[in-house]
Amino acid sequence: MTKEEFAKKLRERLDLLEEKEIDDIIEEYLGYIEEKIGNGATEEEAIKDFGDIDELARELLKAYKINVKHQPKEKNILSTIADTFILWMDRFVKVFSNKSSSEVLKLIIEMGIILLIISLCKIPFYILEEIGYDMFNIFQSQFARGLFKIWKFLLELIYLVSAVVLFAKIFEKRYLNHEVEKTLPLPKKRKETIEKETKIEKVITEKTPKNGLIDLLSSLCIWFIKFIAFWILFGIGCYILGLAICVGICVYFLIRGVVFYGIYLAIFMLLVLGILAFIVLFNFIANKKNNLNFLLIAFLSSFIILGISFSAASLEITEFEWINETPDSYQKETITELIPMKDDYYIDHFVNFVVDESLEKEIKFEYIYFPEHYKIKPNIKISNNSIYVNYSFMNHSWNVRILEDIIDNLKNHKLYNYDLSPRITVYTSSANIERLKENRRLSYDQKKYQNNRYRFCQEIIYEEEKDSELYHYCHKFLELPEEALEDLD
Amino acid sequence: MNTQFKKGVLELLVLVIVEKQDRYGYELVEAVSNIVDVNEGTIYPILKRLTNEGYFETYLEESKEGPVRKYYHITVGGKEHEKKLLKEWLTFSNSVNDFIKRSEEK
Repeated sequence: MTKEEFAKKLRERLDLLEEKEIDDIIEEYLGYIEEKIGNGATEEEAIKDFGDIDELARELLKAYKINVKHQPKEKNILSTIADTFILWMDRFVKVFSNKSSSEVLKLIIEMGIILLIISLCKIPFYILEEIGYDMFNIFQSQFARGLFKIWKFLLELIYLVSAVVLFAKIFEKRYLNHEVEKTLPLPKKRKETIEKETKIEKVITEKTPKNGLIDLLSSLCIWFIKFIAFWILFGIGCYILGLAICVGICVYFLIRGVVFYGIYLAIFMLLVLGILAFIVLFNFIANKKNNLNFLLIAFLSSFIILGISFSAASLEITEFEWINETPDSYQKETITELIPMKDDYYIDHFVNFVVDESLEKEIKFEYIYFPEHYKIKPNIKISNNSIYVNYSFMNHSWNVRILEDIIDNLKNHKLYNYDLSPRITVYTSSANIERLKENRRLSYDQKKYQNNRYRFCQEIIYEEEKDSELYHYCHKFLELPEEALEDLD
Repeated sequence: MNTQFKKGVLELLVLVIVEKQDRYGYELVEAVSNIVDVNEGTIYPILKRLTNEGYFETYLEESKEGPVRKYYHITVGGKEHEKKLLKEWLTFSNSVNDFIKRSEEK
């Protein structure tokens, strides 16, 4: 036989394959023959070594028959799904037929637990839905409501898909550990083991989009979960930052001699727990392994120490005395301003009224402030019959003395109210007070309260009589519970 | 030599050889022939199959003797497959050897 005859015969038998593949194969064999000739054999001998052409062709075709099954064209995603589904049913049936009844029961219980956990995972989705509802509600339009429906639908979809895929993956990993025959699932398993090792796996996944749909969906879900986890991580980060600052303050106090071991330890343990949670979440997002033993011990011991420190802290707290005033040692000064009363006046904001019948035609404004720390200048603005009781700061120099006082008082288990802002009291006759309040009610019709209904109602609730119409209106507006009507003082 | 034995182990041999070094067709067949006596025709189908499944990659290179040669190179997936087959082979051959040894001791 000559080369050409060999090639022709082989080509005939490989007719089923694609032209390109046939050319490739023929080329290889011819090249091989050439090499052999180059090494001294004759053409006849080289070709004889191949053996029976029919056998050869059969082997070659076998190599392709398997692979035609392995590489469905991208258009056949549906057939891929169908194949996968059938395969699943197959393995599913195998699993159940191999087990005894107690094992099957155990299996069913485990599946039930998994389903329960998965349905619990719907909770963050509900939360997201609520947030979306509030957000879209701001706009108060049909369009926004439509957007919300779309948002809700997307959330449902993502949850459903993630749940199914998650369940499927868990099921597969847990129960279907058979020897994988050389059929469809082989490339997928291979891909999973490589996934954690190298970056070159990306090349492979691109070359073998065999179970692309399922893997795409599952990686989508993982990304979504990681996205949420990242925001939780951010929150934990802020929490850690705040606690770190508190710990710094505690250390400072400790150095200065304010000794409350229980409280300091409790704050410190809260910080430690925050850091541990951060580490766990961070490892999850960054695909790193968690050293479970270490974490378990760390969490457990932190909780125990936290519990102990809480009880110590509560003992220390009960020793405290809370005095709702500034310390007596602080100097106070009073400035008064008098303005004549006019019938149309009203005070535009909430103030403390005190009755002084001697002031029939005047209003006295009394400012109490702390001269050791700052000085103020009263500044009473009147425009359009509306009085605004203001003041301006002068000489703003906060004394370090406050800190020293706090420390000293803490050592004595005393906690004062260190609010050093000026106190304003308004004195006038009861008739004038009535007048001022009446005028204010009349001013409510003015437009400026349209935008501030919320703040306005809060002041009304605080000031007005419980049986007034305005009070009821505001009570409804603020959606306060019915009991509040009784409790409010 | 029993063809059934050869058929099973050929794929493993090819993988191991190419993993050590990239080979072209003729070179590979020579290497395998040094280990087991095979029909050269049966190597190529194996090479084709391994390439189609993504375990091998091919590239062309000029040779000193003139013709362009097609070299076979093992991929990451191929290495994984090779490891797996090696493990299976070792387990299999050890079990068989042990059994035979035990049978002979009687």
